[in-house]
Amino acid sequence: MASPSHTRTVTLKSCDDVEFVLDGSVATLSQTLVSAMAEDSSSSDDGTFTWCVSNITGEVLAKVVEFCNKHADISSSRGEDLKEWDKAFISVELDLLYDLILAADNLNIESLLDLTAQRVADEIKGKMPHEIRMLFNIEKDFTDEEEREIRREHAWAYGGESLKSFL
Amino acid sequence: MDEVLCDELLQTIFLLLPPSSIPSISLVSRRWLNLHRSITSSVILPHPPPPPHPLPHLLSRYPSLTSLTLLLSSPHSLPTLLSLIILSSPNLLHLRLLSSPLSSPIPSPLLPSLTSLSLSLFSPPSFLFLLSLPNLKVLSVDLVVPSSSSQPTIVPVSDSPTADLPLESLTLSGILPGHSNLSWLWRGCRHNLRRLRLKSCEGTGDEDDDESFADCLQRLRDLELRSCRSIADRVLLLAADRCRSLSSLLVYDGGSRDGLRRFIARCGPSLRVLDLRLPLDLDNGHLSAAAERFRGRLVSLRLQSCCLVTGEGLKALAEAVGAVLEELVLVNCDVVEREPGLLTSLGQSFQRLKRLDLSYNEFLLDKEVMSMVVSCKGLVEIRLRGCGGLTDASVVSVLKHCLLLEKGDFMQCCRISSEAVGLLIENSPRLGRVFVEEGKVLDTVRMRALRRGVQIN
Repeated sequence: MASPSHTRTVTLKSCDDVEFVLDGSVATLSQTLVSAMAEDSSSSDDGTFTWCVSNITGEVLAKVVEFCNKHADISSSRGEDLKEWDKAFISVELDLLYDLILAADNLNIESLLDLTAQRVADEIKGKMPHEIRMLFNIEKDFTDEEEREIRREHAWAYGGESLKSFL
Repeated sequence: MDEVLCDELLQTIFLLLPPSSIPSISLVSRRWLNLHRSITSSVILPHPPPPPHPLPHLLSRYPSLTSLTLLLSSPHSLPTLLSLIILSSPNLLHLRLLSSPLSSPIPSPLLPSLTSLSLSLFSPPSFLFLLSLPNLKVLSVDLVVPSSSSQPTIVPVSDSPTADLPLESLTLSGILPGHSNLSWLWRGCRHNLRRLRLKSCEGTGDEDDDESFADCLQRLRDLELRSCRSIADRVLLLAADRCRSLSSLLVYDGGSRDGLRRFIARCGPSLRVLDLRLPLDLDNGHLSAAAERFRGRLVSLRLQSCCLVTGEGLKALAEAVGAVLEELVLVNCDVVEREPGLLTSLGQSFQRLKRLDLSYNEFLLDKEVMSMVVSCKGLVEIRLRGCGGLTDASVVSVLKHCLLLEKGDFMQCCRISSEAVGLLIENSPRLGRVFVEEGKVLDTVRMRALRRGVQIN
């Protein structure tokens, strides 16, 4: 049985047949790859492992690989610099952001999931309900009466300014 | 694109949002609303709630609820309330009941999850409801005198068999003299109670039975007495005699000179923290006695508004505990303004000082603070709130000498400028938090603070 060691390389293949070769240590950022490699008993002698990512295009996978390479590189993974790098990395159009979320979910890369979640949260922050619906293409499924009731509950449940002073 | 965001991811995203975004996200769609409710752990609700939904129905919307605050608009019976809550929130850990006092004459159904409870009870209270809370560790009770005589009569409980209560921390306020039914509570606390706080109490509720209160003090580590003038001396004396491992004592506004003197003379060797606000009662005699009693052991000394204390008393203490003291608080203690050079000498004595609070000494001068911090290289926290006499020179001195500083408070220091504040925020290597007026932090400094992870206020 093979283990995800540093000496192995991993080849990732996108749905449009673009291939990326990763160092084994880089691939360990993906829990999906870690499990797959651990289960892979037919490990070839040359130490390579190939994994097809069925629903991710080469363009998106290139971004994911870029992220993993950066985060696996210990010399660069230091606080401030990495944060700046992440910020620049995730400044992408919403369509690409969604693809990255899907890819991060598919490959189970926790740090990328965190980063994409933070980016979505930043999009939501400060927006009104109808703006959020527009952003995510969501249909409103409340009646006006239900909406009023939820608003009333909120005034209590999470404590408005007036309530805070009371507490 | 909603479907891209699976439930789990959406919940992660919700947890990253500030509280101000909550109303918006729950009004997006039913799915978002339910997902948000499913991860909400803490809510505040009125009781009785506005129609149409009753309390259990509202609570059942929050399956992850661990902390609930109920605002009561009319008197309720505690058993009824607990039985309502247990139906829908069996995993509740913290419950707070505000505004209206409760009556609790009979035990209620078991609510085993609850670990902390804070509430108001009509006086004189019955504590038999504690029998239904087998894991309650923290209890805080405000005792309220009923305004009319129509309140339910309290069943006397002094005859109830002694229970072994799990309480570790108990806060009681408003015990009146002549309450004779707290003995059951005290007896129940004799094995587990570690922290006792009494506020505005004029009795200990055990007039016929002094032993039960004394018993509950045995294992106490923390004792706090605030505005308990008429009982402070007696409680202090009992504590000195009975507490075998008291490590922290706080007395604010109450306790006579003699009472305090007797406490210090008889207190066991375990005391580490002494926190006193006794404007007219604490004097040098107490400090000298404390110096002898707690020599080489006292870790924290906090004095507030102790205007009889002079440099002589503080120096005696410095000599005795200088090598171990980690926290020194001299809030509104004008001795630091009256005696030039005192802080310098204290700074030299307290070599291991980590936290220093000199707040509200309005006439404190730069040169005093500067010559003190030169020797305080290990400071991680400094508070100079309300020291109107201090200028930028003090801040610069703190920046220069206190390289380990993590927290600083410079609120209400009108002569300290935004330049000095900016200098500190940008250059203090380990700073994590600063308290200062909004207007004193320039936008550029705020941005840099954000990037460095320095929290302002």
